[in-house]
Amino acid sequence: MDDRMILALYNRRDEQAIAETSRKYGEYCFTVANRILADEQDSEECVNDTWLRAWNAIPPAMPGCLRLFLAKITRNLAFDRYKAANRQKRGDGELTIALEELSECLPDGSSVELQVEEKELVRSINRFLRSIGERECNLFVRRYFYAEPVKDIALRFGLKEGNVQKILSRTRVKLKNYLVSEGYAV
Amino acid sequence: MKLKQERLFELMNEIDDDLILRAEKSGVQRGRGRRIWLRVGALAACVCLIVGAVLTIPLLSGNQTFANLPDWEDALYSADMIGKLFDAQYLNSASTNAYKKVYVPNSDDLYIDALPNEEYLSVYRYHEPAVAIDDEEFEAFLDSIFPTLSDSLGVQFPPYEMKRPLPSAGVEVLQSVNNYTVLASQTESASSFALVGLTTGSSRIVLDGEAIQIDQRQSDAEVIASLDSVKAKLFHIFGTSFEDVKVERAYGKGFEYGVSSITVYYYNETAHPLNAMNGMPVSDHIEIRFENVSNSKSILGAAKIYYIKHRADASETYRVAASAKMISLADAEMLLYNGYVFGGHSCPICMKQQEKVSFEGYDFVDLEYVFAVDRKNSDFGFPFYAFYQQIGRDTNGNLIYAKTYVPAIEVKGYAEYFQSQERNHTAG
Repeated sequence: MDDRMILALYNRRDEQAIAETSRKYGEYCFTVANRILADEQDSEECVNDTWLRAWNAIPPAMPGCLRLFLAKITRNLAFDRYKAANRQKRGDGELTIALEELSECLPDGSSVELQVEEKELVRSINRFLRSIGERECNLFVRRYFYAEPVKDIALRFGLKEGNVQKILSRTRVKLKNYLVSEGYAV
Repeated sequence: MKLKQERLFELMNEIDDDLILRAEKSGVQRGRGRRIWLRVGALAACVCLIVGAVLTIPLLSGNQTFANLPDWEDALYSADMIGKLFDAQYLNSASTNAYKKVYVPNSDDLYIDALPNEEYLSVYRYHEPAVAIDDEEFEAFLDSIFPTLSDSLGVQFPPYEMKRPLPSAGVEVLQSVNNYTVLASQTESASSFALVGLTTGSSRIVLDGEAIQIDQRQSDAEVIASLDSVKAKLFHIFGTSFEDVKVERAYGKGFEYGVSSITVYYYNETAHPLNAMNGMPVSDHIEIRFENVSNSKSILGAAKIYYIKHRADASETYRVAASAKMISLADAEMLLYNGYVFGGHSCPICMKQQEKVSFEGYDFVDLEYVFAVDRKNSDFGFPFYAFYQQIGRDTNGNLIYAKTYVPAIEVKGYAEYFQSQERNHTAG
């Protein structure tokens, strides 16, 4: 069933919408959650929570791209679970490594006082991603939006893992410099 | 503003969709054939079990020996048909394979009723009524509601336009004005009208200048009494009236104040036997869904109001398919203690990871009808003994119960069905 029809089911409050969403995007959302949580049962619950959130959000929300709408809900829910689980115990999954890498993008290495609204920061990040090469951007999004393992990214792009790490590292440094140039330095 | 790498990761959620979509499509996955084969292989094993969704390993207590199973070979329905109901409990985030978790502030909120003393129980089956879509009927439905609703909300909806096609036969109207959205549709079975209020400070839906709100700390009777004037307004707007009212509270984990939402239904209990059960009435009704408002911890605001008007008699939609012989509680307990239970979503990985729960000396038992969430799997509604066992307490104080189901009617083919599930599990 195409997304337009699934959204029509949501609009009519027909629970078949959830069945169709699960059928079409269940595995996809599970992958998004499991890359963050690295726990299949937690990821499964997270995906079920995603259906509930979507059910409550649509309507009034009318997503232009249902798949990304669901991916973002799943990512948020999974990350909330990740943070809750890691308050007491430091995680050692793929996301922990990706987060460590992201800290390099911040002007002072760990935290910084920013004088701008987050929306402006998002706009800056979007501008930065559009300013770099397409492959660099794709690698960055795969790594830090989907938390995809470096090994899998290397396989997908026909690169050695070391090369992927170098490209990501260069991009992180570029992002840090870009943010500094945009006035995000302390 | 403190920005840490965690917040940066969260902010990545806001990057432009086209960049994410482009990244999704990028690259060529080498060795794709093998990887996909492995994934499909694992998925196939899951799907085999999802279809049945029944325990194949002794999660409750003891091994299934397939010995001493009751001989109900003349039963009308098979365990295979029962299993098809439980494809997945999509709307229950805590659903697992052998049991699902239920969160309530205290045991009274489980609404446990006395078990019926019956020899036979009804089995229901859903029938899509073949009533033709009727534009004029739908227009009359809408025209009877919009003027009074607009007056009450204090907004003027623009002229509506019917949209086609829908996935099944039907027409739809979508209207938005100020902080309100209206979604109305007509299908073969019903006309429905939904008013959705967006959050605006402390209120959501405001009728005649009065925000529709309830206090979740109040009892059900107090909530119902507090809505008397709202009920009169809604009956006037929708041009209808109902005799009965019930309150359904949804509890969940993670909600600091316990309640995630409260739904109030106005309906006629006598319009269909299933209306006496918990949950949404199957006949005409008005439904108010209350959710949290931004500046209050105990006050919930009306976020959505639905009016469902069936186009065919509800008894025609949910027909009694048969009267099946009810089994005794002792027989149900025998099935329970031997792990012949039905639950929610099921796959081998989940089964291995689910914590075991002993239902020996369970806390409560109730009779409950279960309908398949996905009608493509099954359109039956079967009666079950629902067993509850308390397994903990949530951080918000809610009690956590494990809940599992045993059919309340004679069912044949237990051994064959559970053996087939065990084979699937082994294969997976």
